[in-house]
Amino acid sequence: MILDKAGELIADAMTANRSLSSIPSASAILDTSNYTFHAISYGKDADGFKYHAHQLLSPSSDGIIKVVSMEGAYVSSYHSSAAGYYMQDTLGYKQKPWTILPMDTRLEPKSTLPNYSVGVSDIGHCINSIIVPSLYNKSNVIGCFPAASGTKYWIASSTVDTVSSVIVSGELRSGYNELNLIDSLGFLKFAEVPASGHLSLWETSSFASGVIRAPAESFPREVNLGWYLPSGDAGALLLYGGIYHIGLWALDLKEMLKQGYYPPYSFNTLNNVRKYRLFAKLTFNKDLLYLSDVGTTCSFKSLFESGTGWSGSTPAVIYYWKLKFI
Amino acid sequence: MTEVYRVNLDFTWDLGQLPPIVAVMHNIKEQTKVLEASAYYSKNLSYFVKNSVWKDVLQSHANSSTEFSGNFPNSFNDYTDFKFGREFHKLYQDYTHNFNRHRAIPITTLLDGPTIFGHTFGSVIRNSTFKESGPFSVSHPEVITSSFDDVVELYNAGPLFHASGTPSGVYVASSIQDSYIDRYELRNSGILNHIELCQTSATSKKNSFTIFRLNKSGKNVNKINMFLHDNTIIRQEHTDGLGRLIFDISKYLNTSAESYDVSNNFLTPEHNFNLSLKTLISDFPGEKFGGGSIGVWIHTKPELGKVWTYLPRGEWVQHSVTPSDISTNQLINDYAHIFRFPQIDRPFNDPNKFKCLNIKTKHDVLKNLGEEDFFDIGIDFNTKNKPILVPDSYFKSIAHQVHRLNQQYVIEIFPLVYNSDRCVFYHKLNLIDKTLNTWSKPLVYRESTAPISCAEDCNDLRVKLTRNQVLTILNYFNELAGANQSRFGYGSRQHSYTSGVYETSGGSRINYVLSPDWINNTKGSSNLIDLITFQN
Repeated sequence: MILDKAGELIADAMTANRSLSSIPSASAILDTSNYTFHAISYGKDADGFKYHAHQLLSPSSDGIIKVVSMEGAYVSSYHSSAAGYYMQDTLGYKQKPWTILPMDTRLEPKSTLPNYSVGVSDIGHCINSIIVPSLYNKSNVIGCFPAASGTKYWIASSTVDTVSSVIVSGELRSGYNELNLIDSLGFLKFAEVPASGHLSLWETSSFASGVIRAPAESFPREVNLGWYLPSGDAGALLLYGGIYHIGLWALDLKEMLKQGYYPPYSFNTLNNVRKYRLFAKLTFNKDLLYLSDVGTTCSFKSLFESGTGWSGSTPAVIYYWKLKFI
Repeated sequence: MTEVYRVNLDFTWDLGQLPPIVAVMHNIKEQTKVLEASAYYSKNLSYFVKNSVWKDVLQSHANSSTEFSGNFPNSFNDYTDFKFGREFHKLYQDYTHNFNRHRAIPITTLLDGPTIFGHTFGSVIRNSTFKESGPFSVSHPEVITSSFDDVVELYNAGPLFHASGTPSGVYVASSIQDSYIDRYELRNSGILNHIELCQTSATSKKNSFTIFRLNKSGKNVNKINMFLHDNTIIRQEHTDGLGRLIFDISKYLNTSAESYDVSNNFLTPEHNFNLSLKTLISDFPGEKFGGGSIGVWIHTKPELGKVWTYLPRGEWVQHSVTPSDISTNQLINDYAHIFRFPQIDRPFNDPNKFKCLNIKTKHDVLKNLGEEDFFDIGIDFNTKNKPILVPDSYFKSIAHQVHRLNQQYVIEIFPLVYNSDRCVFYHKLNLIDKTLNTWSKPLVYRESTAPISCAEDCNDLRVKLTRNQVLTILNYFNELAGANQSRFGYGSRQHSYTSGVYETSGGSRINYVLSPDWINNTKGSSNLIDLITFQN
């Protein structure tokens, strides 16, 4: 759904003061790249930030992403919905993503602070805490992405004795972090190439530079977006509760100018000055990362762990989003 | 094109006109602030009285509420979260369903009859100002009096009120369906559009109608009487019988060429209405006003030989209109609303009451009249079905309710003046749907003591909108619904219509949460969706 903030962006673009073009230090404000899409983010239900791998399972400072499958020892993969279902009875957890509304300005309006919240930003969606030095030690309970070099994980069958009830364990590597595509607040950047470059990337399905935007058949009435979710990042997002929201973000130029930031706004994963506003969002009633084991094979392990020949640009999932404007 | 445009040196550009809907929203909110101030000061009268001598207290309060209290306009959200109110949406629903969402163009705002504007602002009845000539007078304009030098009196039993005068639009009311009173009647519908001038047969030939529509072309501008030259005045002279003006609301069709999209007029069920009439009873010199009565009969057309009449005591009752069951006296005593006008003397020597012009003929009386000389009579009535228990036979043969969109209503107006030196003038008639009128005005403030069932006349504070403002809102809603010609209605909730934009189920969903399984996707062996294409 295209949101109200999209209208604001268009109004801002149409009312940008043309006279700025004669001021060298400010003329970049008129650059059309400031008024297009700049990020994608992933989200889930607000309460989910307190459960799944966000639960404080002792010991919590070992850096391991831990979940309890709630489905017994015979199911080796993790299902966010199954965990949510069982925790509804035992812990009162209601896995209910925010119902999408045109006036939404973030993916979840309620607080998305995890149990461990010191120094964590409440931004409404999944953040990438592992690249923040001050959060690194607790990033396994903050989430929601693994380290580029790999982060260990456990899927256990019991909350009582997590260590001895581990069904599956291994390591997830983040393709997004390896390629510096996602900032600490969970904003996945768009490929920083000219429009023609986006078209080339689209035609070759090359997602390693970030999200691609390309003209659709009836451009400008339709625009295609395409991006990938690397296997390790998909696995981590699943362990932290899955994907129930996807947000499309444009720059909030006015907010950045108000804070004294002038274009061009370069993307920086750790200290990103970019302020975003939510242009459109998708909300799902089923985890986009739902999977099932195949026979005795743990699908989670086979799909999301980095095996031979793994690279950060290898997609586990490819997402396309066609935006229709008229 | 090789034309070279001049370089824009001042670095300005036209960002377009303000969308009319934004202007309407702004106006509503600005008026709202003043009305809120009015509600506040109605409970703080001493301050208001003390300070109103040197400032506009209400506007000042409204302005300060913006400056200091965050009142409108405070943010863009004031416009994006704007609410016209539930009642305006009910008006739009009536516009959509009862008025066939007729063309929403400026000319329709000025039309009487079956338009949302006619019903909301007046008049429900076509030709309420009598300015539209009927089919006969269009081809024979001489039957309309355009000059005091040549007054055309249309006498009973004359060519226009004679059984042989069919080409003039006259017909003989002789069936029960015509609900004639006492004797057959001659009704002429060709002189004034949508209005029947009625005379009882075999009554005095002095009974007459005269239609004054004075022609001001070529007249000395200093001698133009704005009242007389801008209006059509009907004069009725009456000595016996029951001559009447008959407004048969749904009888005459309204055509597309006249800019109507609803051919048969109607009264909306379950609504309240107000009928008003400007009229004057006068003697011929113009020395005496009043001395007679005006009757108004509001009824439906006969169904199974009976009509439903709205009584002065505020009830709809069913009664027979077969000739043996109804007489003039019964009509006057039992069914009609009677407005009595005691005699008022206007001596020639009182310059405040009489504009002393040279009265030579009875027609000259009119020269002495102005709008202020006319009396207003008004009747509130309703089309509420709830209090009415329809008889079994009616339920089985006609309908389960009296008031429905296809019910046919008639309003008849007649003088009760039996003095040969008196005549009656009719200046204009207005019938408004008070319910629609109320709905057109966004509610700002209602007393906490107001009854829950309060609909109209509740001393509510409401923002009065103009016809053009209502038109703007209707057009905006039409735009959302895709009712404006080829424009797509993004606000439409018809799933078949919007599914191309909002995917399966279109815009009719209660929410826009998706299931990945509804969306085009491919899954791997573990059922993980590894490729999916979203839309919007």
